[in-house]
Amino acid sequence: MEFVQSLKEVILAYLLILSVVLFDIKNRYGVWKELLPVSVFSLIQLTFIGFVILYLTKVGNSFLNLLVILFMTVNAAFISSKRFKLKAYKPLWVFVFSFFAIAFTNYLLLFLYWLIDVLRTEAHMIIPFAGLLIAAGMRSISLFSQYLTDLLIKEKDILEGMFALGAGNRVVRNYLLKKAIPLTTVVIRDMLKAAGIVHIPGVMVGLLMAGTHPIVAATMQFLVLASMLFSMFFTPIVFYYLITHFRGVFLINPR
Amino acid sequence: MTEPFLELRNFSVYRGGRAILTNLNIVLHRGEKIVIAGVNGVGKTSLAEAILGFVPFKGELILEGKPVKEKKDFKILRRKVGYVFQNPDNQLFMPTVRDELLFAPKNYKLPEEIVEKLFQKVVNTFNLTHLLDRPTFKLSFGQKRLVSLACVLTYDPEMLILDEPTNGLDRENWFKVAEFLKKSDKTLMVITHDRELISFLGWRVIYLSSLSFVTSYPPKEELKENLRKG
Ligand SMILES: Nc1ncnc2c1ncn2[C@@H]1O[C@H](COP(=O)(O)OP(=O)(O)OP(=O)(O)O)[C@@H](O)[C@H]1O
Ligand SMILES: [Mg+2]
Repeated sequence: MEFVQSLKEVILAYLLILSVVLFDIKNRYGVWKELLPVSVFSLIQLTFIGFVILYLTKVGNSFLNLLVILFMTVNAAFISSKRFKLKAYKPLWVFVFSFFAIAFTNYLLLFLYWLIDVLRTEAHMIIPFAGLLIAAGMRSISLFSQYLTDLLIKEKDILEGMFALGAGNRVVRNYLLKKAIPLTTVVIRDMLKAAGIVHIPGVMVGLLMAGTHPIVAATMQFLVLASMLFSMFFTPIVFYYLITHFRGVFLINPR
Repeated sequence: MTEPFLELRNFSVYRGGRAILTNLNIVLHRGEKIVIAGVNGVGKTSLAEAILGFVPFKGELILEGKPVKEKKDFKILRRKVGYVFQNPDNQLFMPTVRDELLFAPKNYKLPEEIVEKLFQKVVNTFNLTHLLDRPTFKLSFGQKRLVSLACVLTYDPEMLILDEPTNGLDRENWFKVAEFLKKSDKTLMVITHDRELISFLGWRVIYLSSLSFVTSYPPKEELKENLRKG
């Protein structure tokens, strides 16, 4: 019965994608070339993660779950280092500091939730939650690097003015964070504002459809949004502290 | 003969990967004052910014007998050589004029009594009392120019490099700045096109030319001729 349901869903999803692809080809928007492989991969990835969680739930070994989370973090740090815009820092350093920033900020949260028993270490609970946070942290580092690069180019003169007046790395770092962090967190802050009014966020939709009590679903969603805010706010800050502490504040023309 | 305060040897300045000034040799003794002149775009600002470590150069830069090469050397140099940017906006990033004037002394952790004295002196010299609590971005251009000069004086560097310090000033403030420069006992490098200022100061003029060779003239008679060329 469940299998039939799933099959229906996949077929429906592909019909939707197909209609987009057909319209696209007819009007030459050029999106379909990317869509075809992506739609296949995304289905495979999602099913794969489904099987992994199924397997991990059956095995019931918390240690193995933590290992999976560690693997996700390494992946996220790797993607951050690939996407990082500011070329003054070597990708290896970006990878290392992204890893520590994502791990420190988000493991702290997971640990806290585990401590007060909001979250248990069973695979079907901790893995999706950790994934959500780690992805938020990764995204915030990418966004941050983009805003940082823009700032370093746009405000090069002012930053030189600061250095000329004896500003140390700490002063310049704080100046840059003050400008870049509000921009980095725009998306998540907007999501908080719009939650419930403009849209019902994904986690809540999932819980509601799975039959969870609406109030329980609402408070869980609220915690998820707050956690994402925490992650997107602190991950880039920790990252920037680490990288500037160990590698310095680089302008476009380093010295 | 005492050791020079600042020395440039075979100094070439690069912009966009290309040498715009080559093989400059300049020696400045403590307390010595010079003017750097030259047409627009010849590289006067670039020269100053190379000395501060913001623009790449080749050759030797020597401060009090020690070569300046690494980041930490430039930190020491910036403590001793104050730089007033051609565009005052580069230096104005604090909320108020008062914060701006105290920015550098705070960075250098100068003792409070000394800062207090320097602050008062600078505020009096340039009549800034009425501007102290004003936001820096709301000042007029001339006021910004004065504040950008003042915020370099509150940490009392031994030498000053000033890029067009009289640009945009009215008569009264022009005299204030010109008199200040003339009376100052600091080592000074003044970059300017202002012919009136050059003759008012009467210092040695180093004239940068686009052919990348540099000549140093004594002031007075020859000066007038050079200025006509420039
Ligand atoms: N960021 C930059 N990248 C590449 N080239 C630059 C840059 N800034 C300036 N230049 C070039 O370097 C040359 C020297 O510029 P600079 O600002 O030093 O001249 P200047 O003598 O100070 O001129 P002015 O009298 O107009 O202030 C110019 O040809 C300019 O176009
Ligand atoms: Mg200039």
